[in-house]
Amino acid sequence: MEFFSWLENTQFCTWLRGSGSIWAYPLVLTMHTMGMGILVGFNWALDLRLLGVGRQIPVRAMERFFPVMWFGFWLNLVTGLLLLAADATTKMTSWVFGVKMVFIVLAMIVLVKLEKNVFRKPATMLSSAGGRPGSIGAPPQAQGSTSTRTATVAVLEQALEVETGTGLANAKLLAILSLAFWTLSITAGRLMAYLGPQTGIK
Amino acid sequence: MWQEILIFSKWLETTHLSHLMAGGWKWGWPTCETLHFIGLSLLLGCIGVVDLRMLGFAKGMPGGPIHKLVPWAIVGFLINTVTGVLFFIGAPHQYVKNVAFLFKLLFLVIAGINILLFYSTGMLKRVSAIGPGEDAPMGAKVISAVSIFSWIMVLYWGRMLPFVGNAF
Repeated sequence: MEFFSWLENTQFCTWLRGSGSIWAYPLVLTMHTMGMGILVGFNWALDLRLLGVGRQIPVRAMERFFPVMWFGFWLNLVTGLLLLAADATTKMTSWVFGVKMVFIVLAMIVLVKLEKNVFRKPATMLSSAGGRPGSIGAPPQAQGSTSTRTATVAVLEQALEVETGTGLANAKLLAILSLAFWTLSITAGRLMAYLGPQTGIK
Repeated sequence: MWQEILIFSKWLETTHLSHLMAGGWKWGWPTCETLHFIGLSLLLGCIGVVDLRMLGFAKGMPGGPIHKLVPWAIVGFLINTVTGVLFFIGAPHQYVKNVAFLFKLLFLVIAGINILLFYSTGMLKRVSAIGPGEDAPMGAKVISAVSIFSWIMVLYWGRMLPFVGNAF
């Protein structure tokens, strides 16, 4: 606790919290909201796809959004640490903050699982995710470019499919968990300003 | 005009709903804030997938089916319109004199006109014909760039409400 008290009273944190400059606390907070919109927003769009919205969108093509979501994640880790440092003693004793962190960890575990088990691996499993056979898997221009490689990938995918046993039900479950965990993270995050210890910092 | 706005704001504050939002119901404001953030994420994510695809990102997605995400962006928008109006009803005085609020409204209008342009110029039909790997027409790219920029600005000025002006 002494550390957190020292931390929030450092010159930097005092400036961040109390300078009144638009470039201090307000900017960090805005970036944090932006990162949330990027990470949660794109994750929700992917969840909706897995739950059957826009069935003709090839799931594998959406893998490109993972780097975007990771950008949102890192942005929010950095801005989140700054916001935490500025209000360290209060946040570190706030149970609501703890709840928020738990749900973020859970949501990120689901995100990693989605990335590894669903979006990187589709072929067999996605044929059951409701897409038309022609629209799933790699985009057409990627297919047939190196046919041996494609065949190898297909065999690997089939092997993985058997091994991990991920199926459509599993992907949908992950999507529902993702929706729920992010909703709870956002809710806890917002309620930090109303429940638990307060310092009046927004 | 200005006088009318002030009179209207004063009247709003006398309503029961305003009283509830301003603390009469303890959880009114926090609940709406939470929903506003959920709606924000839904809107940004679903519209973001469409806009980024138009700009050439994740081109494996065909241009048509991605628009199935748009109704969900509209759900997000409606959540935020309802909760946003409730904020206004709860504390009109903190918005009417707030320059950040004016900017937020301005960019909302720009985003709205931009969407109208997309649908009224037959752009939906043109982009729906785009297959995987194909480029979107220049017009669609411009509309998508304006869309991303204006929604970021809506978020930015919304977040600035308590700092530039006098909102909570």
